Amino acid sequence: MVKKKISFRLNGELREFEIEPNEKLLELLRRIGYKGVKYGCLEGMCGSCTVIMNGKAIASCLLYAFQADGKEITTIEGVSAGFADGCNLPNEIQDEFIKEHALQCGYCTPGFIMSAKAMFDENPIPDDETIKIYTDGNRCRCTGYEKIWSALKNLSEKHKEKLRR
Amino acid sequence: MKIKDFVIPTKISEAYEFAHSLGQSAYYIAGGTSAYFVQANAEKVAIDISKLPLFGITAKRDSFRIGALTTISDIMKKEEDGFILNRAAKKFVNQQIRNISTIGGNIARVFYWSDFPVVLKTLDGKIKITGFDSKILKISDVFHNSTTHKEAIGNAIIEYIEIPRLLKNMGFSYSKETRISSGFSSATVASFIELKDNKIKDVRITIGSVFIFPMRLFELENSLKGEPADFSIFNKINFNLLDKYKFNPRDGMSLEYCKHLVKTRIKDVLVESLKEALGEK
Ligand SMILES: Cc1cc2nc3c(=O)[nH]c(=O)nc-3n(C[C@H](O)[C@H](O)[C@H](O)COP(=O)(O)OP(=O)(O)OC[C@H]3O[C@@H](n4cnc5c(N)ncnc54)[C@H](O)[C@@H]3O)c2cc1C
Repeated sequence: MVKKKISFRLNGELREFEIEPNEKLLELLRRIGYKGVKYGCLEGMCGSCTVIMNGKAIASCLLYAFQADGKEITTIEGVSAGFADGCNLPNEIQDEFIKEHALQCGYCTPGFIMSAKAMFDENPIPDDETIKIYTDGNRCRCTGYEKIWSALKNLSEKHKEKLRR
Repeated sequence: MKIKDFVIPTKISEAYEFAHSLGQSAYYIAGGTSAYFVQANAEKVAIDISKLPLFGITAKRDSFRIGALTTISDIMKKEEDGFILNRAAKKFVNQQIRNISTIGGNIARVFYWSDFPVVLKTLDGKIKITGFDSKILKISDVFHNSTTHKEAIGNAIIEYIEIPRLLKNMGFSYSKETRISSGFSSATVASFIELKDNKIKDVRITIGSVFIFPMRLFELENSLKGEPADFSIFNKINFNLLDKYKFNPRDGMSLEYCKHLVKTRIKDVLVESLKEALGEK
């Protein structure tokens, strides 16, 4: 099969990749080391492979890698609040997940964080309905959804408070 | 489906020429979310049309023009008087797929569960299709049945659809039944009602999912035209008119249950449409 070159901005850095036409974006990202993007159902239903493309949460298992050509892709590795002592620091969404105990096995967490990040970037004060809509493509099979939604509601409240001040 | 090569044209004419010269092995990719359902061993050359200038929703006085590459999430977010496609978009599987799926992709290939063919067949309007030439056709002619649909679109490119704005005295409703929390519906029903002088001037009902291709229920519609705009008329609907259709029950439903579900949903959407047409919503 022919290999072809594409380029896109990955976590802020413009990069070029050699891909097979049939390769999915999920496969490419994991092949080059972005293992926070998880394999799940591989049919767009579970959300564990969620990345942000041009500001929108998308299922990287459904997209061919070539569809990312010229776009801007953000993975969980690219959303930390900084770097200290050899570690990425949790961002405000991750902080709320920790405080609210919104994860157990953690497999679905990167996907939820990416969906939430796309939502907060678009709307810093989402209401309950918006939170449910923006996370309706993410499945969690151990924590359940209440704690995840609470974490996101708490952050929405904090943003509201901040704006009031 | 196996993609053996891809091209990324930026002009409609260029995209169509690729498709024309590649013949059977060509496959347009807009969002690409339906590739999953194409035969695993089919080898295709992808024509990524996502860079063609076919985006956006333009409001006109009596209608809305929607570019074929407009995503379902952009349709969902569009709030404007008389714009009703957002009601169906809200029922579309999930955020990640709404963000990549396009309306063009949804109507170019009709799966039994596809949402928008059912809605568009009910609303009617126009569709622009471009191959070597361009043509603007009536949606109801293109979506009459699977053969007219295939003949009209072939390997041409859908540029946009134009649907009427819902005006005063009109109502629309869309119902989608899913057994699990997924996009694959077991029954979809859409209806449109227009009133004049407190009577039903026009009514359209389309059923999807339980048939291979969405079906308008013309006889049932005719039986309601001219009736008074009163909810009690829906208790007198002659559902025997549905007996001639061959239903395909999904998700383990019995034929009896499937028919019952459809009848119930027909009543529901008609009631909702009439409420809206009467200004009660
Ligand atoms: C998990 C899952 C859940 C789903 N749930 C739903 C659901 O709830 N409701 C629903 O209706 N569908 C659903 N689908 C099906 C699919 O997502 C939709 O049909 C979607 O709208 C297709 O759009 P797309 O842009 O991804 O099309 P693509 O996959 O890119 O293309 C679909 C077909 O249309 C052709 N095409 C695309 N654009 C054009 C154009 N402008 N002109 C001519 N031909 C064109 C392509 O060649 C291809 O044959 C689901 C799919 C998955 C994987």
